[in-house]
Order: sequence, then structure tokens, then C-alpha cells
Amino acid sequence: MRPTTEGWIFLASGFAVLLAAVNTGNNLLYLVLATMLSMVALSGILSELALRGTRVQRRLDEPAFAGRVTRGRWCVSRRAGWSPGLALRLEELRGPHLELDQRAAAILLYVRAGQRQDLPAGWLFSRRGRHRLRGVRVSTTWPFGIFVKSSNLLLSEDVVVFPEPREHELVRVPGTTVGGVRTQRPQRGGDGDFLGLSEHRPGEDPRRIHWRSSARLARLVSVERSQSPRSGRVEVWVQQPGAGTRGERWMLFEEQLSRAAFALCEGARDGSEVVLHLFGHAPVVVCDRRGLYRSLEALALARLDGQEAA
Amino acid sequence: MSSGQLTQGLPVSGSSHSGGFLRALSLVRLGVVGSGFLSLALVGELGPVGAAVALVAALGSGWEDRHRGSPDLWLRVQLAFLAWLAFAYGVRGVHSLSLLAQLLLFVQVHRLWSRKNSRDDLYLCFIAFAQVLLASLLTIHVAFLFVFMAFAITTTWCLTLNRLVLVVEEDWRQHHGMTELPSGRFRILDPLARWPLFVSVAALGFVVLAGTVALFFALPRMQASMFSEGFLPAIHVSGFAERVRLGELGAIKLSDAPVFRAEVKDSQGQPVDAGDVYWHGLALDRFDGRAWELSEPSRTVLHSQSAVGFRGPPPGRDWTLRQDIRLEPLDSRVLFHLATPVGIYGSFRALETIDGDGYYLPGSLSEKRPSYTVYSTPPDRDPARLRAQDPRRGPPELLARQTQLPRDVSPRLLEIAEQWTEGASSPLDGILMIQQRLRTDYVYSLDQLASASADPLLSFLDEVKEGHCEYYASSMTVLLRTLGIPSRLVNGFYGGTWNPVGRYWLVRQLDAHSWVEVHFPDVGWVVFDPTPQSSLGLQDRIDLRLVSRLRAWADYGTVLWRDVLLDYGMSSQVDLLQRAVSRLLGGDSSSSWRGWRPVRADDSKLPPTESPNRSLPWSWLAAFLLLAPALFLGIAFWRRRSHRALAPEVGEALELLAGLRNDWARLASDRGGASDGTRTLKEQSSFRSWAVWAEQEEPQRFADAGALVDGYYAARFGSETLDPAVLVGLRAMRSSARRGFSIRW
Repeated sequence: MRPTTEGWIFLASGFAVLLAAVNTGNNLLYLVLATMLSMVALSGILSELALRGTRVQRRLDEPAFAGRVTRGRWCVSRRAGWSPGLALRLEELRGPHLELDQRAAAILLYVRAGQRQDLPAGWLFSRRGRHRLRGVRVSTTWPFGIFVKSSNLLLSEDVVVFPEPREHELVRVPGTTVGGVRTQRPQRGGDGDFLGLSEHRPGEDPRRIHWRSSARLARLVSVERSQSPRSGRVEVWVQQPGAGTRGERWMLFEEQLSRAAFALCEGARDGSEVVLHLFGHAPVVVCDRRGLYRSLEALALARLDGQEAA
Repeated sequence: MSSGQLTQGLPVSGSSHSGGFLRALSLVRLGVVGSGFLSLALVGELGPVGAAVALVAALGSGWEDRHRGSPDLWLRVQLAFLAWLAFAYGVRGVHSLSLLAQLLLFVQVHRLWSRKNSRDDLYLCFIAFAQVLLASLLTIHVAFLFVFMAFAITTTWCLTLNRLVLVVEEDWRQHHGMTELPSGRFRILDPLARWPLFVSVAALGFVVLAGTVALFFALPRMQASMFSEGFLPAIHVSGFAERVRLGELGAIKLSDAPVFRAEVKDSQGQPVDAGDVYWHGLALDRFDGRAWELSEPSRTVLHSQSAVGFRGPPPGRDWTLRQDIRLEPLDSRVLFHLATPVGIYGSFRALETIDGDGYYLPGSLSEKRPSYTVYSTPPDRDPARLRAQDPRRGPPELLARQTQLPRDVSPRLLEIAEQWTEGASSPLDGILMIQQRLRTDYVYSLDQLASASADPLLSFLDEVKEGHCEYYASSMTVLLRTLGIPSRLVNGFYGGTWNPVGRYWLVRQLDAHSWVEVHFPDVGWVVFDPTPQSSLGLQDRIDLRLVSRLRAWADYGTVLWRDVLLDYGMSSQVDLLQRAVSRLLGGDSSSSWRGWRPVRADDSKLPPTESPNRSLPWSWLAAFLLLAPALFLGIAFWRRRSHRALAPEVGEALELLAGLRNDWARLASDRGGASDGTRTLKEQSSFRSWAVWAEQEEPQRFADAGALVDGYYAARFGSETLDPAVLVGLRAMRSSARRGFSIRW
């Protein structure tokens, strides 16, 4: 419990009234002083009542990426009884390697006893890796704004923060490597829109032969279709950085991870088949959302020396 | 969450129409401001102009579209006001506190009119607080209690409701910077504007009042009074100085201000009808034709060891009347009493007496409203005994003083005296004949028609034949003196108004009265009153029953206000404490309090004694006994807070963690690592190096060192019990740390 700015003024005024009352023996000043002390005492009791019985749950509604706001909510509930929670401020406790944006703080005006209320909130993690959210600080200035009373609620939760997806142009030429990330996207053989007919070449998929046209033209003709969104393939390569100081290598490594995260996300969004080649790990094929998250988690925990981050 | 979460979904630029919540807050704000203005009015610092300005500002503050005035305009107004203050102080000599009151009024009006946001409400509360505080220095009127209660309640409400508004504003500013918050946003508060909230907030105000009462009586009084006289003006009562001009007493008879209140009881403790008694004040013996005065008073200072008030009747003395008297703050130091006192008790340390008859408080008054108790015996007024005595044969010294006449006394007065007492068979009969003649042949009037004459008494007796009691009493005294009968004029009060609510007699200024006392050698001073009896106690008969009842309640409230609140001090606390202790121990509080010695009339012959200061040890004892529980509770609370609900194993875990933290910092420093003493163990435990050490030393148990701390936190601050494995792990870790484990840094 600590006084607010107004609270300091209030306490200083009370001290002045105390001195005046003692010096003058004026009972009316004692009366004023008694009222001020009564308000101070009541402030402590009511703020304690407002905090006690408040339960908070943290819900992150989307995966966490470094440098981007992760949307979620605070679920605040009060136990049954008669005392409501008023003017509550919720704030994520800060910890090592954890820098939270002020949007992780939320203000709740009123929650009735025995009821629950959800507050939208946002978390902003500055670095990738595994972060431990320790708890939440619930504070209130109710009822007079003289004191801020706070209570730390233990709400331990590990969050794996994926690397910040850094946007870049996906390289479509096979075999080209940019920054340690190599992507490959085939152009033909899609199942998309009809483009026309072409001469069937040996080795092509016989299922593409258009038999009616082939019979009419007396030669084998294949159907040309555009590449469908789901028929692509993205290969993401993350390699050990080359020579350089530890700092330079670390920067290059982080850059690779960011680009890789972007490529993974972009490829998955396009519906392509994405393959992650992370050094020291077997290639991982991303077929679904779960696979995508597993790949991103591997990126999040990857370390320069090959070990996973603690 | 990217925008104000509390105000999401509401129109940003809504109408300025405020909802029910803000309307309620506006009303409460007006209550706070109004109580501040009322407190200024109570001390007479809010004139008609100020009241009008305050009313306009208060009512106008609820008008959202008002023109708030430009900063330049307000600067000019402020400069003009400051110039006016300087003029009032320097030229007109206005009191500094009065100037302060005007300044507070101006600031409040300014803030009220230019109010923009909810934070201004806090300023309004603070300024109103300053106004109430100022009033507490300038008044002791019972109305202050009601104004203060109104202020305390409305301020509680205002601060509470305003807190919710400020939360909305804070939420807005957190997400939108310092931009002004649209008024439509406050509609989020309207769902709260229902009776549960208002009832709760209303109850809060009364809880604050209840706490105020409790704390007021519990707060120890140090009595280190620097300004014990305060700023309170004493009530002027003319007619009780050492020189009183003829007719002066009539001036105070026009006022109904209370002078003192008295409970009169007989020796059995039953109330006595004091409706027709004479409250002896000041006896004057020297008359120069236009004024009465005390001639070379033989004053004696009486010392008392009774510094804590009376505890019983005077031992070994006969008395029939007990008077508990509470004086108003008067500019006179006379102690009023009935008949002949045999004992006077009070909180004063000394008394002055003149001939053992009149009593005065010497020097400045230690308290504004002294209270005291008088035990008296009424004089023997047996007519047969009085008739057998001749006052002209008293002690020569007394005769010389009490038969003094003005140098230029008119022979006509002697002629009148002889004429009126013609045929009297005894001095008493002569005295009664003069008394009766004055009562029947003269008309009572407060108009002082005779005062303009060169010889007011002769003019009263021969020409005007109208006057008030002072003329009657002076005439009779002078007539008696012309006959050689020792007599004197006494100024005091006659009767009073019975208060059935408080069961005491209220004596007001309009009860002021003058009468005559004649000295009989073996009896003493005997009262004679020549004033027509029909003129006495008139005010009681014209009062309506309901009005008098209401007046009785109001006066009793004033008495309670003063007794319970204004005069509550360390002696009251000591008294309460003593009674409580006596009740607990089963003793008699009155008998357990010893060491007093009453002031008696005949003590004037005794040498003054040095009174031992007995109040000091009690004061310290009382302060200690009042503070000790608070100190004890404070220490207990602190200890409980420090080790609250700490199970033994959790306490051990706490000690282990504290030791580990120090070991960790020391080892890290020894090995050249970054030793940040400000980090908690929890933060240190998340270091990679810690995990490495844990993996090497206890790979099974300490796979995650932070889990140990988490387990401790869950038991310390959560509702879980401490996992025994956590304690075992911490012990092992602490043991290793003492040996100096190896760290791959």
C-alpha cells in the first residue's frame, strides 16, 4: 500500500491539522483530524475488501510473436458474497527477459460479487523464447484515492514466443539462398484454373491427358492448369551463421529466424507444403496448424550454439 | 486491446448530456461546496455579495456550455482581487484570517466556474476542507457540528463517486494520451447509478462519521495548548466591573444571550426551584452620584490544591444549596453564586475574594468557560430576629464604608427617606417601608429618562419616577445610607429559565438585576429588592409552550455540544479512565481520588499553600494507557503481517531462500560474474547458469530451479501447501551453496 499523489497531500494536511490540534488544544481541529484518520482507516479496509476474493485468469487468444501484440483477455471473477470489486487495475508482473507493453495492464470499473467479467488485453513480448509469466498485480485506489493498494496473484504460465516474422520477398528460384533461408516454389503442375491444351510430353502425368481432344487430334494432348494455392512447396532453411564475432553471428542468426518465421507463416497461409530445415534437427514438414506451431516453437527455442533456449 | 476498454462500443463524440451518475456527482459536489460556503457564513465571512457570487458559481457549474472565461480575463480578475485584498489589509486593517476566508471564497468560486474535468472536484473538496478548517478556528457555535457533518458526508460521497469517474478518465488517457475525454464516455457509469451503489456510498459517509466519533474520543489530548485563548471573543457583560455607571446594567437586559447555566440542588440531591433566587455577582459600596464602584477592596488570594474539580461537599460544614455552574465565555471574572458560599470548587488554582463575600478568578482565565460548584447556606431571614437588631450598630469600619454618600448629595434625599420611614417602629420596618414605597409608587421601564439629569437619583425619585432595577436599588441604598443604615448595591441575576430537557436553569443577560443588601450585625447581609415584582420573569410568561420547548432542546444541544465536544480534554480522558478503572476494580471513584482541599471562605486567614502538581503524572499515565494499546496493536499487526500464516515449513523455506540469495550473489561476485544484488532469487533462478549448475548437481530434483521458487510462492502467497520435495531441494541447494558449488559461468 502506498499513497497516491492526492494521498500525500491528504496525509500532509492531516499532519498539519494534528500539529495545529496539539498546539491549540482546539477540539474542533481534533474533530477534523478524527475524520481524516477515519477516512484513512476506512480506505485501507475497503481497498482490502475490493481486492480480497478477486480471482484472475489470463487467456492468450493467439500465438505470441516477438514484437507484436498478442491479443488475449483477463477473466476477472469475484467470489460469492456482498463485496464487489471496484476500480481494479490489473497489471502483468514483470520478470527477467520479459518486457511487457503497457497494454498488458487493464482497468476494471466494477465486478459484482459472484460474477465474472472478461477484459480484453494485449501482451507485447520483446524477445523470442520461452517466457514465464509470473502473475498479475491487482491494485485499486478505491474508495477515496488516498492509497494504492495492490496484491500480487500467482498466475505462473510459460509462453513460447515465436520469432518476430520479418517480411521479405520469397525467392522463387530453386537453389537460391538468401540469408541462410532458401525457398523453393514449383511453378507448374497445378490443379488450378484451366489454361489450355499442350502437347503431352513423355514423363508427364498420364492423368493430365485430355482423351477426347487426343482422339479428335490423333495425338496425345495434355490439359494445362494454373498452379493451385495448395499445390506449392516452400522449403525453409536455417543454417549456422558463418565466421564473424559472436555479436554479428547472433544478429545474423536472429535475422534468419525472423525470415524463417515469416516464410513459415506465409507458406502456411498460402496453403503450400512447408518444410523446415533447421540445423541440428531433422526436416519438419508443416502440413497443418499444429505442425506450423511446432516449427515456430523450434525456431523460438533455437540457440546459436545448437541448444534449445532455457 | 488498443483502445479504452471501459469505453469500447460507446460513441466517442456523444452528446454532452450527462447521465444519472454524473447528475448524482454534480449534486454531491454542490453539497461539498455548499458546506464550505456555509462554514464561511457561520463565521460571518460570507456577506450578501459573496453569497450571491457563490450561489451563481455553484448553480452555473452544472451548466456544461457556460463560458468559462479566458485565461487573460481570469488573470485580470485575480490581480484585481489581490489588489483589493492588499487594500483591505493595509488600509482597512481587516484581520488576516478574514482575508484568508475571502481568498478561499474567491479561489473556490474561480475553480467552480472554470471547472473542466473530474480532477477539479478534488480541488473543490480540498478548498472546502480549508474553509471548514478555518471555520473551526473561528467559531464554537453548535451549528458548526452540522455543517461539519454535512461536509464530511458529502465529501465522502464526492470522493467515492469521483474515484469511479477518474478510473474512466485514466483508462481513456492510458490509451489516448492526454486528449480531453468526451463527455459521452461517462455513460459507461450510468449502469452503476442504481440504489445499491448509492446506498453503499451513503452508508460509507455514516461509517466515516462513526469512525470520527470513536477516534475523536480516543485521540490522546496532550494539552500542550499554545493558543488556549484561541480566537474566540468573550461575551461582554456590562455591570460587573469595578466601576459601574448608573443605568449601565439596563443595556444588557436587552439581550437574551446566555450568561451561565446552573443546576441547583438541595442537600438531598433534589432540584430546587431557582426561579426567584438572586444570583449574587458584584457588590458595590461606593457611590459618587453617577456611578458605583468598589472602594479600596480588601482582596485576598485563596489558593487551592483542588486542580481537578470537586469531589464532594465541604467536610464539616452545613449547607443547603449546591450549585453546579457553567459560565459562558465572559469578559467578567466574577463567579456567581446563591446566598452565602461555604465552599467553592473548580478547576481553577486560585480565587480572589473581597471580604470573604465576592469571588473572582484572578488573572487571565485558564479556560474559556469555567465551571465550578458552590455550596451555600441561605441567610437567616427570620423577621423577628431581624427586627430585634439595629444595623446602625455594626462594626465601625463597615459602617464607615457602607454608609458612604456622594459629596454633593441632595438634602432632598434625606427628606424623602425620613418622610417614607415615618412611623417605623424598627430599622427593619423602615427598610421595608422604603422598599414597599418604591415598589408601588414607581414604574418599571428600561428607558433611562433620568440619566440625562445632573442628579439622576433625585430625578428618578422626584420627577421621572420611571427606571429599571438599578435606579430602584441605587435609590433605596442611598436612602438607607442617609438614615445611617449600612447597605450596598449588588449586581447579579434574578432567577432564570428552567430547562426541563437538561434539568438546569438558564440565566441570560435579560435576567440581569440589581438589588440591595443590608448588613445586620448578627446575621450578615440580607437581601431587599425594591424593584416591582411584576417586572421580573416577564420573558417566561410570554413564551409559547412549543417555542419554549424548542428553545429548551436547542439550548440543551448547545450544552451537550460544549460539554461533550468542545470541553473534552485530557482531564475528561483521565476522568473516564479513572471511572473505568474504578468500575473494573469495583472501587468507588469518588473516594479513590484524594489529595484535594476545598477553598473555603475562611481560608483567607490561612497562609497560601503550595499546591502539589498532581495532574502531571495522571496525564502521562493517561497518555501511556491510551497509546499503549495502539502501539501494541501496531506491533502485533506488523508481526502478523511479516509472518502471517507462515507454516513452519514455509518459514524454513523462506529462510533457505534468503540464505541462497546471499550465497548466490557472493559466489557470482567471487567468480567475476554479474552480481546484481537487486535481483530476487526468482529472477536469478531463471539464469541459464543456474540451470546448468542444477543439472550437474541434482539432475533429477533440480531440472527446473525456478519450479522450487514457484512452489514456495504457491505456498507462501497462494493457497497450496508446500511440497516437501521443494523443502528438501532447497536444503540440498543451500548445503551445496555453503560448500561453494562449482558454477559453469
